[in-house]
Amino acid sequence: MTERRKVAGILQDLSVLYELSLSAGQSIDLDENCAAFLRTLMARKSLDFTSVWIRERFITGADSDTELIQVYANPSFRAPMLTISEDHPLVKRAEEQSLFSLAHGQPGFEELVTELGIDRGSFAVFRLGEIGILKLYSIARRDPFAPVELSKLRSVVDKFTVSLEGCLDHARVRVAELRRRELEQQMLHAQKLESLGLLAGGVAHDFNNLLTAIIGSAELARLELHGHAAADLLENVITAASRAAELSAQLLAYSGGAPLMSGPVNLNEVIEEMLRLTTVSVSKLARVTSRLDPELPPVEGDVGQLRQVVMNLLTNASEALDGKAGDVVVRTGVADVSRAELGEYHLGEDRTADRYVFVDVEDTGCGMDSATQQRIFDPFFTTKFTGRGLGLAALLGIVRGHGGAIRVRSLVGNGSQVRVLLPRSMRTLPPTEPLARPSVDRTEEGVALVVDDESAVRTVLTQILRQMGFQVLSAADGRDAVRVFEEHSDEIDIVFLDLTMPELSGEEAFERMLDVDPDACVVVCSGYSEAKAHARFTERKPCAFLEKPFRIMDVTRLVSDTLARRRR
Amino acid sequence: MQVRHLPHASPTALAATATELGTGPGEMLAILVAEQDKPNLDEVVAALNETGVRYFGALFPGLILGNDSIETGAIVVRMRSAGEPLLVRGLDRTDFAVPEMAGIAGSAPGTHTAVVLVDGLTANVSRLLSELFGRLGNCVHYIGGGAGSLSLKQEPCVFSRDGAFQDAAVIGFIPRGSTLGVRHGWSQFHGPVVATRAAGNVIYELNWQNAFDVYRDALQQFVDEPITKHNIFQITKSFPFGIFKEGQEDVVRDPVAVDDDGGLICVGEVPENAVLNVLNGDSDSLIAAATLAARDCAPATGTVLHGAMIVDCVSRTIFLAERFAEELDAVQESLRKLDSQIPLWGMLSLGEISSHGEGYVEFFNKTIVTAVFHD
Repeated sequence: MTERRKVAGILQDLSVLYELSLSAGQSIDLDENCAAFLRTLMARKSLDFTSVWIRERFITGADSDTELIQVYANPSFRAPMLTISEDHPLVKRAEEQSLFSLAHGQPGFEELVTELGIDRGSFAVFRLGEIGILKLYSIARRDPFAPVELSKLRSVVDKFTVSLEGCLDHARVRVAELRRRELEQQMLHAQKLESLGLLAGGVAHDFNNLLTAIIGSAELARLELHGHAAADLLENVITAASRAAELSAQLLAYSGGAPLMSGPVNLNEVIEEMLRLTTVSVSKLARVTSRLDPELPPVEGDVGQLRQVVMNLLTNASEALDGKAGDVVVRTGVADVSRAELGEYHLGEDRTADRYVFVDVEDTGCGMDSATQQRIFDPFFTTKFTGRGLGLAALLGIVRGHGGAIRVRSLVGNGSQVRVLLPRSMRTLPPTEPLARPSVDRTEEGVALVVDDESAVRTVLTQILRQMGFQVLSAADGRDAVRVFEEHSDEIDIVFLDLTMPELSGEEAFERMLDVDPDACVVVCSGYSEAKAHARFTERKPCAFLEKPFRIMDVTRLVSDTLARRRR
Repeated sequence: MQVRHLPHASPTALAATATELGTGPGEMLAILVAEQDKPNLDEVVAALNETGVRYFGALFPGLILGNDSIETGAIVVRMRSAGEPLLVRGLDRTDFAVPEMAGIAGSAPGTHTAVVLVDGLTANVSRLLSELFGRLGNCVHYIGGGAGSLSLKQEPCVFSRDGAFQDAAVIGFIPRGSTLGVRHGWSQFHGPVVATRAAGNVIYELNWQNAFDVYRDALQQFVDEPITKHNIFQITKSFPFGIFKEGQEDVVRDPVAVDDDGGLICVGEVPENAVLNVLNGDSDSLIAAATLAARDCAPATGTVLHGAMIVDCVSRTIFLAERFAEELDAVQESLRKLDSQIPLWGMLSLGEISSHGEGYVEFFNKTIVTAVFHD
């Protein structure tokens, strides 16, 4: 070879190495970095295939490796294998030799083949430091890559290795960042739901005070106008206001809160009762069947709220049939639910693996796509034309309050299955006692004190109690209430005490009244749920709770039961 | 393969020929139109769609039939088809999408040949070829060329039943094998220089300086007239760039124009930091290379030949001038030795496409690519 040709050859080599060197590390994205370097290498060295294999721990963050993952292959059609084990001869050989080449026909060549259509040519393999392997292939070569050729490439491959380490580090940081953002989003979502819950609870409370005045006044007026044509109109007012009260109850349920008044509940009985009640509201075309476990243990919960859960599940299943014939099946049973299975449930992350009572409601309706499934528990999300979007949100609130979880399985066109898990009660069910139902007309005697900052509520309650035969004293705030009670404690038989008031709160007024007379009979009234209201009293408890809005019947029954209990 | 030449490429004449040839199941027409007729391609597409034939085509600076180069009319070739021709649009961007090629990927190596007609003045031809090779690999051999006008003004130049487009490619898949020859005959003359700043098909800097200035300063001593931005095409026809490719001829890149900032606009991409050499050749070396390309594509004896295709860079006609006929004579002579009746057709292109045997597919300039289709 002439000196001039030698110089030209060296210049050529340097040119290629220069270009290759600059093509490595052009991007911090793993795929783009591989593509920039290896496409240049393939073009300049007339290669037909290249691939990069990275040890699993550098990609997944695992503590140890069992395999290498192919992160780049060009052309991809040749590379059907996405992973190879640590025991693969290619990996073993690369551990022994940091760079080597084998041509077709040489011993060991076949063992290196992880690609399609390789029946000739030559491989060159480079160990990429600790992180993996680079594989080059030329179809036209009959001999292995020459050692000097491999040595020339070694320097740029080392630079490529460093660039890959940078890409992998970047990817790990990015994954961690994505995870952090995901958690942040989850927290924001939780905060959003919590804020909505607080808002919903507050609105419901105020709404209930207004409804108490509307319903109570309308009922009293209807009594006054018995037989008059206007009584029918007042009946309409009461019906509409009662529906508004149901909506308000949904809002309160969504706001959640532990059901402190809970006790053992027979879920089967609740379901049977609701199946009877909902025969009117579910679609006539729905074939509703129940398969209830006769050995079902009781659940710990609030029977009223559990009725609402069952009602919502049945209503939604019926509506999913979309006016067509179909089946709705209700099942109960007991299931051992693992931590992994809880991952499928809403609220599952807050629960522990345990044996739970479940209620399944399954329909053969229209089903839901995944986007809808993700949002069905969001308040005010609805797919119904006339829906308010509170049913399932309220259901989630109740289940949260009961320490349960919900799973939804659904496919568009293939129906849905909703499973609610509830904790078993460790208590036994109390024997069922027929409730004493005192007559509405029964006349009481004595003195009642009505305390509420809402004058309309005060007026309604006062009139009901007067009609029952009570002498009624009243107060518009807590401080005034304590003063009246101190003056008349010997005469007062029963106190109706609102919780949220100016000057002195209901709880403080309650404590001071009981300081005056520890045996005072105080009925707490609130637009919040009974559970929330009870949670505000830690040591001394009120003798009863009257939830706003109330009907005349509710008041008369409560008074009769409470006083009868005290007399016993 | 059945080949027809139309002296004038009007929509009516093309539609009449398409109807006459027809396409049965598993057949298609490749339609190569000479730019000089300036046909309205939208009207051509509309007329061809009326006939119901399956087709794809493009506009080229010239056509080749036998050993003749033709500047007017059209060549229509009926050939077997492995499916509906593929249209790829948006090649001016790097995020173009290549449709699925079900039924071809995974077939045995060399059982199909892809005829790729691409807008020769678009920016991402090599990237398109890389995408195709990544998906289909060597189960397909590739031949084709850059379409467009010799004026180098970019306009819609490839067409299919979906319309006429620029920055696009149409690809017809023939369910036949082929042997390919790729040669150019240029050799290293000056260099190396490094494309220190380049993007797509434009070289902005050579050796960290203005690309045009470096090119001009390097070559001014070898040409009589002053090199300016306006006569660059006259200079580069004799002094293209070559990108090194080990074991093969350099891949030629033809700078055909200079942009306002002194960037050299090439036919085909030049990777940033690629080391380039200025190439030079003479008529004899180019004609000898063409002869070798024709010889390279001789298939194994005993195979049935169905036709031969030539894709010859239009700049070779300019460089060879009256001797260009010798190039085509030499190619025809070599190919007719394989089969004296073999239909021989092709085009004068703005860039040439070929895979090296079963190897990687490349976009070349100033090169001649030949293919013999066989069973």
